[in-house]
Parts: sequence; structure tokens; C-alpha cells
Amino acid sequence: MRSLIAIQEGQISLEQIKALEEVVRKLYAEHVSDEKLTIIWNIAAKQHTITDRRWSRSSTVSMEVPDGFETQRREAFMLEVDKAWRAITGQHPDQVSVGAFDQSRYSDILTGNLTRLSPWGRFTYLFKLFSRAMISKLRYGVLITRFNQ
Amino acid sequence: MPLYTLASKKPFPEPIRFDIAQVITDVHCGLTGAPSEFVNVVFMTGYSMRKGTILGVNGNVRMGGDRTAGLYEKLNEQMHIRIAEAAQLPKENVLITLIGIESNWVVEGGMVLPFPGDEAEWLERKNATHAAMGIGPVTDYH
Repeated sequence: MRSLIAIQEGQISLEQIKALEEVVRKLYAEHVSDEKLTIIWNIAAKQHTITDRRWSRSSTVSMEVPDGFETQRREAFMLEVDKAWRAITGQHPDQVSVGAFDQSRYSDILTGNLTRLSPWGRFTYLFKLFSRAMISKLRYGVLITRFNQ
Repeated sequence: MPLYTLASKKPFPEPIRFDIAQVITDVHCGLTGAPSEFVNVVFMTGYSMRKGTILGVNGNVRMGGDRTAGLYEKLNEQMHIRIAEAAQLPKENVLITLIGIESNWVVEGGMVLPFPGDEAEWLERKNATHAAMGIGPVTDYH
């Protein structure tokens, strides 16, 4: 299963990222599945994200869950992640978005992201994503990449 | 939610990025009635785009509730025209893709998002909950 987390440059420290990753994994195992969850952190450069018409300080957590995952369990899981996230970052509730998407729809979203790129663009995007993420994993223990290449 | 991600090879200048995001917010809120605080826009740069495309816009938007297929068509059409204008690009160089998402698959503001059409009651409930917790409006924009 996959999780993509978008955060703003310079907003969340490496220590906080590690603590957040730990809590997301723990809650995922408790509420959803003990299947391996691959978490990729995507950092947006400053002044490249806008929320509510203003330059944003928001974080977006998206996760894949099994198709047809029960509504009550899904909602309880997202609310727990949201609460735990804000306890670590101190962000305002309006600055945190947590999504638990059916696996098939999550694939549609990720495929849609790639469809707009050229074949070369897809290759370089995936190559950069994985090489950066792997270097980050070796250096920091977490998979971090960037929206802005 | 909605989350609009915009991909391009070269970055657009900051004022144009800002204008594009305002236009997306105008069109989305104008057609759907969603509050502007729901609208997120992310600019991704450095990507080689498919042939003929300079700007690729993907929007993940809530579905169901009072939203019809006609509304999504209109949203797609208006986004296409207005984003191309704001980006100063011919319409044919802008690609728009919308993907519908169930509203109860996302939590924002500490609460599960409402079905489209139920935003006013949801906002009232959210503001009351935040007030009871001593949480004011967002002030951290820097």
C-alpha cells in the first residue's frame, strides 16, 4: 500500500517527519492493515502551493486503503491520523488534510498524474522520484522527494 | 479538497501562479458552491509534458451530493478556458483532468468533509467546534 504526503518546504523538521511517519504507520496497522505501507514525502517549494487564495502552509496526507473499506473504520482512521498529526506539528486543523482512498481510485489518481507527461517525462519523473527517495532513505531513514525538480 | 495539481516543464512566474490559483478558486467555488478554504492548488515544475501540452491540470474534486454530470462538464470547460487565459497560453496547450472523490474519504478542519451541497451546515459545525476548543482562524501564512 502507498501513501503520498505533501508538505511545505521548511515547515516540518526531519525529527517531526520521522515521528509523523511512525505514528501514521502505527495507526495504519491498527485501523487498516498490517500490509507494508510505503510512505513518500513530497516537499513543495515555497510559494508553489495555495490554499484558500493564500500561499499555503498546509499538509496533505493521502493513503491507499483496500477497495470498499468500511466507512466507519475509514473515518475513525482518518480522524486519528489528523489528531496525531496536529499533536506533533501544532498545525491549525484547517491546515491539515487527511485522505484514505480506495486502492483502485488511488491508482487512477496516480495514473492521471503520469498521463499528462511525455514518455520521457514519465521516465525522468519516476527515476528522480525513486533516486531522490532512496538517497534520502539512506541519509535520513525516510523517503523524501520534491514537487519541483 | 479539491486538490488541483498543475504540472509544467518551466515554472510560471510567481504572480502568474498566484493568478492561476485565484482563477481556479473562482471557477471551482462559483460553479460548485464550495467554500474557498477547501481549495488547494499545487504547482509542480521540471516535468517534460506530453506532446502539445504545456500545462497539465489534474483536479481531485468531491463527487455526489448536489453535483451532476453536467456540472463536471461545465467545471472542466470553464477551468480550461480560464486557466489558459491566466497562464497566457493557447487553450490547446492546457490539459484538464478531473477525478471524482467521495467526500467522506477526506478529513479537513478536523472533520470528515461534507457531501457537496451540505457545506454551510458543515462550516457552521466546524467553526462552533473550533471555537469550543479555543481555536481561532488560520493566521500562519508565512
